[in-house]
Amino acid sequence: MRCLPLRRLHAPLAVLVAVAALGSCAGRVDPIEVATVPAPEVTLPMRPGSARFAVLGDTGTGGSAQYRVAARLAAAHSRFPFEFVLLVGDNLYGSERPRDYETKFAVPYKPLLDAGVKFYASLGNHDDTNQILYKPFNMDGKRFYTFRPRANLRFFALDSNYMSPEQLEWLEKGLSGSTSDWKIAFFHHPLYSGGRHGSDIRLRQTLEPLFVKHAVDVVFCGHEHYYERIAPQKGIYYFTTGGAAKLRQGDIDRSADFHVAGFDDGYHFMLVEIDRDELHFQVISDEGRTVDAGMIRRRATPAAAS
Amino acid sequence: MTSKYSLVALVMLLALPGCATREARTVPDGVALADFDRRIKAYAALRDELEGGAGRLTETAEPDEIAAAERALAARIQEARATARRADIFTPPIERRFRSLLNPHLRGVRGQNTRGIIRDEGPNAGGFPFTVNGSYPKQQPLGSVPPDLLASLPPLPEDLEYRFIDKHLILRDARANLIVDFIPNAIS
Repeated sequence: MRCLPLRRLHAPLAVLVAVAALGSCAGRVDPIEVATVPAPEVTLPMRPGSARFAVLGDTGTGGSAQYRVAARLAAAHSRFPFEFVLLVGDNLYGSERPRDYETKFAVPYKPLLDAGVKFYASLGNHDDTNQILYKPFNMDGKRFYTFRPRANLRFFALDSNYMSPEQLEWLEKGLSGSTSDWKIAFFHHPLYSGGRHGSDIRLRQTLEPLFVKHAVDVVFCGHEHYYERIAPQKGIYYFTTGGAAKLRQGDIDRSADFHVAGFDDGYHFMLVEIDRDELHFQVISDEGRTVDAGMIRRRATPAAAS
Repeated sequence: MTSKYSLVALVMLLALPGCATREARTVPDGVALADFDRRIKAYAALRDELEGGAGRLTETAEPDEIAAAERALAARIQEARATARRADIFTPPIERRFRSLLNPHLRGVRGQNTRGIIRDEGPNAGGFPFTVNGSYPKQQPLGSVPPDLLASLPPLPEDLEYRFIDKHLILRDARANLIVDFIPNAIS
């Protein structure tokens, strides 16, 4: 990684980045120690052997909010050592020059990357398709892909910008062939949303039947710049988590019948822990405050029940 | 190079004075979209053929390598399409059909919201200078097309996409970062 000129960065973060950059250049700083913000209280059960990950959305501004959330996330990692991070799109806003990959991704998340945390990206509406070639995004050079970090857990990353027949065929095949207990999809455009963009009805009509048919458990999306938890729809839990660097304050329509919980007063990230049939989640603001938390119990599928 | 010659021949045919105007008055909508499909697939085939010679880039941790691969492919396409100009793809009948597909989404309150999203999330008002067969400036944001509006437009071959620059609908080759063609003031 190249060392970056600090004058481009916001003052409060300069120290953090300076230490991170020193670590990069000299290779002698424990990356987790660069998080100068206090670690938030983690209420997740942290059971031995559980799968742990974070979810971030609409991240790539390169602005102070992204760096602040990234620092808080790195601090959280010291208490809740998650293995990977899902990116639900808009990974690079604005310019997408080579150096933007650094200032909008590699630098803010350097403590996590150095700690071996893997990032799995999906494409948002502002992302250049060629991001699929960027190795740290772990997209395997594809717009849509799947990975299985544990035997009981499979993720499906989709490109919701364009749901091509090829992608749908791939998804149906992947879902029907999966023997994992947990099937989790993540992509950019929310199927249910109380925000400015609103629910993507066409996408819902296309994807939801597949999700229902093949017992997808949870869906993570972004696009709306806030956090929203949706009431289970046909047995599927939906989360919108698009406020890791951008924020549209007061944007949630809380009167929507599918709305359960939301946070549109600040930036945030999600921590998730899966242990057998339970998925625990905690949503933390950039100030370290828990703004939502809970547990989802996986539905008994016919195979699991038998 | 068959594709290259085919494309040049197509461009020459469309450059004949009056040809496109007569077509605009008589071509039914379905024919216009079929023509669009043919033209855009011809472009994609040319792009794929040119990329084949260079070898497609695989995953890399170096963004500079991604940018270099884009530029190399763009240079090949720019050379092969040296005579490309606006309306090679969006011919007048096709452009007219596209405007009729876009217009229902731009009316009333819903239309105001759609315009607002395009404006707020895209390049700054007024956009920036761009040309057919020119690169999309890397320092500029990629303006998106709202899902409803996108769903009403004809599907595109892989790695070709619709984007907005201010009020103009552009056809962008994402793999080469090139502007293939555009419709001016598509949402004016």
